[in-house]
Amino acid sequence: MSDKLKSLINDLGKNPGLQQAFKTDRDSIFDQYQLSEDDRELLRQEDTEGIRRKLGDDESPISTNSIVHKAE
Amino acid sequence: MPDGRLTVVGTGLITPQHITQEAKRHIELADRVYHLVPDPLGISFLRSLNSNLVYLGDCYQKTDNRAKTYSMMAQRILQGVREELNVVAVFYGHPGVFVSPSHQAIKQARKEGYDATMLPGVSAESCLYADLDIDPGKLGAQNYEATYFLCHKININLSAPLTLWQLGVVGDLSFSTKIKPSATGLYLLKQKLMKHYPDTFEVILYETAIIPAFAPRIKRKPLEDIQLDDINEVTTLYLPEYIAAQKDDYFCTELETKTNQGEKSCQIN
Ligand SMILES: C[S@@+](CC[C@H](N)C(=O)[O-])C[C@H]1O[C@@H](n2cnc3c(N)ncnc32)[C@H](O)[C@@H]1O
Repeated sequence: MSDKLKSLINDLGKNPGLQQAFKTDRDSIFDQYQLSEDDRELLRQEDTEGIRRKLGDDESPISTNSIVHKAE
Repeated sequence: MPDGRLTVVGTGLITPQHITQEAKRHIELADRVYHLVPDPLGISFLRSLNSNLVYLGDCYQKTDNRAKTYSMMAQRILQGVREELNVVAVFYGHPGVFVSPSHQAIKQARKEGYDATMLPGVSAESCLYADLDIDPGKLGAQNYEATYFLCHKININLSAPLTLWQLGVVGDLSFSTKIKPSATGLYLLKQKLMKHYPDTFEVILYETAIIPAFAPRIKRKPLEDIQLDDINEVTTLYLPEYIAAQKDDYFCTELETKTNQGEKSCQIN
């Protein structure tokens, strides 16, 4: 679990100003949140799966499956 | 009416941003919360609202057939209701949009005399309208599950957009819990669509962002060029309208004439 990454993502959800800055000046936000190089790369690539894997743990597992409907 | 109660709620696609105040309050007040929320941040959020969480995702490991998995999930949820608890079941998106176990659980709970309610949530369809800037009020909308669409005779309305869900399991008749589209399924789906649309018709492979501030994936491609590699577990296929709808001259004229004649010319029973 990467707490700094988690905290940035949580803040992004709450703060439209931060969202805007994330679009225009990512690197200064990465510095502000003191993200590791790994986390920066995940965010630069917008690698949703990688981030989910990174944030998942035993308590908050990532789903192996998002299909919840069976065609009749 | 027995004491147990079931409320089914959705988290939307980005949690907690999309969750409604109403759903949040129900989760806070529940005795037990069953959930199938696919992302860790969503689950942490649920835990911050209520510590009595039961994850339903392990049902996928208990059988290799999705139909059985969904019944198992519904049965689990029902267990809590039968214990006379105030149960909340949480699914991602809208909890009733392409979600079998939520509908099964509600139906069974009502059959057994319990109070059971579903609350609406933000679905992938709501996100698609926002991300692609489409208003279903303009030309209409058609939504089908991809395998259902493939295996049924559907009167496609070429004048309205067509959205195909669960492309990630198209043609998988084994209903296996190992998610992947079948090459045959995709091939046949393209064949079926190309009977109605030109081979080069531009379609959209769509995935809404599930992390705030990320861009949605909007991949435009000619229909004939869609490959297995283009499809992820959450990809939705969107086909815009192909031909303009014809005006119904008869009813338009009738409408004008009758309107001019006044209300009395149009008695409804
Ligand atoms: C079992 S359904 C669940 C839908 C969910 N209940 C909702 O309200 O959106 C899974 C299907 O929803 C669509 N879907 C889920 N997540 C999506 C996303 N991030 N972007 C686009 N479509 C998505 C895909 O068609 C996927 O195959």
